Amino acid sequence: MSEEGSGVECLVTRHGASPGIRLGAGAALEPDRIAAVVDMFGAGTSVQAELDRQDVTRFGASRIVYQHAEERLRLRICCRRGDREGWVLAESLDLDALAGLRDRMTAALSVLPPSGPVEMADAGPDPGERSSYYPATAADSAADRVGWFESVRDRLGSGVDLGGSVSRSVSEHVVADAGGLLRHEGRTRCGLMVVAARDGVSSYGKALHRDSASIDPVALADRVLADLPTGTAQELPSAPRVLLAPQAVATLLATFAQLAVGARELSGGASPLSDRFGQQVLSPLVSLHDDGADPSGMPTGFDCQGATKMPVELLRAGVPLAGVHDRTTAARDGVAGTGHAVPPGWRFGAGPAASHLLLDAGASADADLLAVLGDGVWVQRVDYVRVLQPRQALVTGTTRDATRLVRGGRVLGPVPQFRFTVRLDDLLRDVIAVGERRERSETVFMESVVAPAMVVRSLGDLEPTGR
Amino acid sequence: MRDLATDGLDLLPSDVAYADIRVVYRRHEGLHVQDGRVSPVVDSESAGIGLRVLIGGQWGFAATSRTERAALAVLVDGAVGQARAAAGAGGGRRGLGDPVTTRACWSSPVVTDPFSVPLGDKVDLLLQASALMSGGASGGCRLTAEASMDFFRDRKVFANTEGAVIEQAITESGAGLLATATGGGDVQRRSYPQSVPRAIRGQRGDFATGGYEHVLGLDLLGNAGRVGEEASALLTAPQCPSETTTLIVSGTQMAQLVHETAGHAMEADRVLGTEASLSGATYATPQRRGSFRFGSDLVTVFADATLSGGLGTFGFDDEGVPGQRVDLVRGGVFRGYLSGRESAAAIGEAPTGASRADGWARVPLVRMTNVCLAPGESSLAEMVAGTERGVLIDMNRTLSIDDVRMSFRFGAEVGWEIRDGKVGRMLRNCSYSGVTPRFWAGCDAIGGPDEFRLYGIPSCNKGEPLQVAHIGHGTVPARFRNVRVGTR
Repeated sequence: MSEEGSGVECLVTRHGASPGIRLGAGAALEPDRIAAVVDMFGAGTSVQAELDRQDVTRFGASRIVYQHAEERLRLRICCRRGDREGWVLAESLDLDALAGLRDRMTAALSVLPPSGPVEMADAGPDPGERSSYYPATAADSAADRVGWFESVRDRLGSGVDLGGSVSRSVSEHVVADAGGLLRHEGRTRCGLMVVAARDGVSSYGKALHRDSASIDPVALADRVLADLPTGTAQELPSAPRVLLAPQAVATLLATFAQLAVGARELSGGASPLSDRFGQQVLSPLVSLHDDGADPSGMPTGFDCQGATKMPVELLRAGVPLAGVHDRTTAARDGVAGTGHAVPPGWRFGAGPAASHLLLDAGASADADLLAVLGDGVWVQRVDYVRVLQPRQALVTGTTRDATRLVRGGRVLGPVPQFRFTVRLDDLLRDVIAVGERRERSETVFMESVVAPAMVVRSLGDLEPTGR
Repeated sequence: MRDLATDGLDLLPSDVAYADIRVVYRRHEGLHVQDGRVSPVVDSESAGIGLRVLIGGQWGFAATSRTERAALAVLVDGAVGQARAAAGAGGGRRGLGDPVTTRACWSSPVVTDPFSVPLGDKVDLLLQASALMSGGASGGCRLTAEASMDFFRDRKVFANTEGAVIEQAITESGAGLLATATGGGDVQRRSYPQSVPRAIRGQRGDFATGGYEHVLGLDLLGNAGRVGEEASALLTAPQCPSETTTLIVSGTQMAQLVHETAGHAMEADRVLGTEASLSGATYATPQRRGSFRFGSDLVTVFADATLSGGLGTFGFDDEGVPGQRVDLVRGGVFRGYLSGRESAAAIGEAPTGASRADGWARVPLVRMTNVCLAPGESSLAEMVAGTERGVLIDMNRTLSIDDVRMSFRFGAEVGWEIRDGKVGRMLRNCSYSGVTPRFWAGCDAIGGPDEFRLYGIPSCNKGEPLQVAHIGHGTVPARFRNVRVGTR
């Protein structure tokens, strides 16, 4: 180790069972090897390393469409040379290959104008043991995934078209820097998505857990089948009340949080919650947290900057209280980081961003929610929700899969899918009831979202999809 | 790379009916400047191998970032094990059509290698553009001025068990500007020369297969001041009125419109129901082919992977099928599909060379190439002059479309009202909605060949795991009657 050495020997934390995954016959992601990379790139270096194995079995029209297995090492090496910074992204731990990239980056940074110092808040306390890694998931095989497909298909029975996927990942994450930080965690993820279709209507279900043994594919198939619309097609009422099933709430909530709770959006005046902290903005029935330690979600110890994921109470009874920070925004604002950094070049913005949302459950059983709804529409899933105006939280999207008419608290037949355009702060202000049962979900930009069903007064402007 | 590919195929067991292997190396350089400050430079290298096998009618696919010979046996075991595991699951039957036996090399033309241009020169250009944008701020608003460049180089080898061995090298270059203005409880933005619907940092702007000459041709400095001024001006511009009116869609906005309503809809895998649970299905079913009226007689949409400089331009797709042109809509009628070998065989035709994978770690899917709206005989000026009352919109800001590609709503960065044949006030928060065939049926004028422009978008999402494709759209402005526009 050089004089400017990484200091990784002062190990901050190592927790969670190491998956010890290997790239084929290659080496596992050992902290010592990451330390060597930090050491080689020199002072000011930080490294984010992921060794990831993803497996997916995709099915459609009741047959397996394709299967996928991917093993990948990702290294994101942040190089600082004075007030200049660059990222080397590589997929090898070969020090000779990395030396070439280091030299290229050093040469590149030497010609750039200085960008000023980058202050970073402390990475926070040891995250401790979190339920992020399960050997059962890591041991899943292609035959197991095919078995789930067959179980679900057989449970749905003939005459029902099955689509969806079984996905599994096992990964190992290391964040280390030249200042002595070292975080190391194994993570597993298992997901089952089921879409059952019959006679032009469909029903959707999703199960997600870090532990594959906690997912019951037959139970999910039963639930999806129970919600598959039957009966005569109904007309879409004008301006109906809406009962949003948990997966629909999760998508809308994630979109709102993506717009609203990041420290950059909040301080820059771009968030719909900017300048509204302490005010009654949403319904008193809406209490929202972000907590990477909560086993209801997908527990994770730290973010890509190595900062511990801290619990953040975002909204209490409809009143905004706090946003999420990465180490840079925390240092800028003089507060503690919350562990919500996003990787460099992330597709969904510069971050920080909420990652583990949890909406507090309410008191209403599923049957009670229908009774509260009375007359209206039950929406199982919303799709392609996109932001029209960020500051106003104005979004548009469509319903998808099971969308059914409810009359007098009784579920009737399917209604045509429709487009909605709504301000999410309006939607979440006019909440009538919240369910007691929560489901775990995710989006492409959020690791987990845990949400119950809710009855809302309106889903905004509705237009038929014309299909 | 070539030897690695062919050696991998040599390891396959005898029950493999078909296999292909891709060895892919990608380099990416990303530069981003915000408010006169250089963001961290990104220098990325990715290399790996993807192997796909077909056994007993079931696919297996395995990929690894290890590129040494020792990884090949592990890769074969993984892919073969998967396919065999699914052997009893039923439904196995795959046709791939005629064998692909091509042996070829292909490179995209490059005048100036973007990786050889001094970094300082590239950053200086972005800093100047950022400063010019910032200078356009007015009215006490807060303006964030971002400028970025990205360069990609893919070297890839494709080989299959039918005898094909294809080597390709594709260089892509792009740059863009984004000004975001905040003030008065609102956020507005302007982009140049093309936008992306999400807040992707970098990888914005317009991209092409080509070198640094493409970036220089964009004239970032000549447009930066205007972009900053328009972003600021939007904060105080009147809201777009909600009404049913005549809509003129600019070429930049048209790129997204063609992408969502025609391009994705005519991907053949959607027809087969294999994407129904994820990306969705389509209105463009085989039964409707040749008779379904997509739009007015004026509308012709084609996909062409051979257009010079297109971001969806290549020699061969990732199944070894040559890049080609195919009509999707002709004279307003739905005619054809983008397809890969399997989807083409399922609908009984030859593949159209549109099967591509995102790097080495993904299976090939049906993806767009350069999907274009064919030029007509009008012009933007003529369309405006012939419009008594309407809205002209430019640059996509957001989009949403349903899972069968019928109901859509698009938001634009900016609009201008049209009154009595003249462009009037700037409008903010413009969006419009429609149902695909009804919307396109209202198309009564399309810009001519002089206004045809090819845009490159490096951010088309599809698949599980997610794949991001680089695609092109050739467009012209067009006019549509009886469109619902407005703020909401």
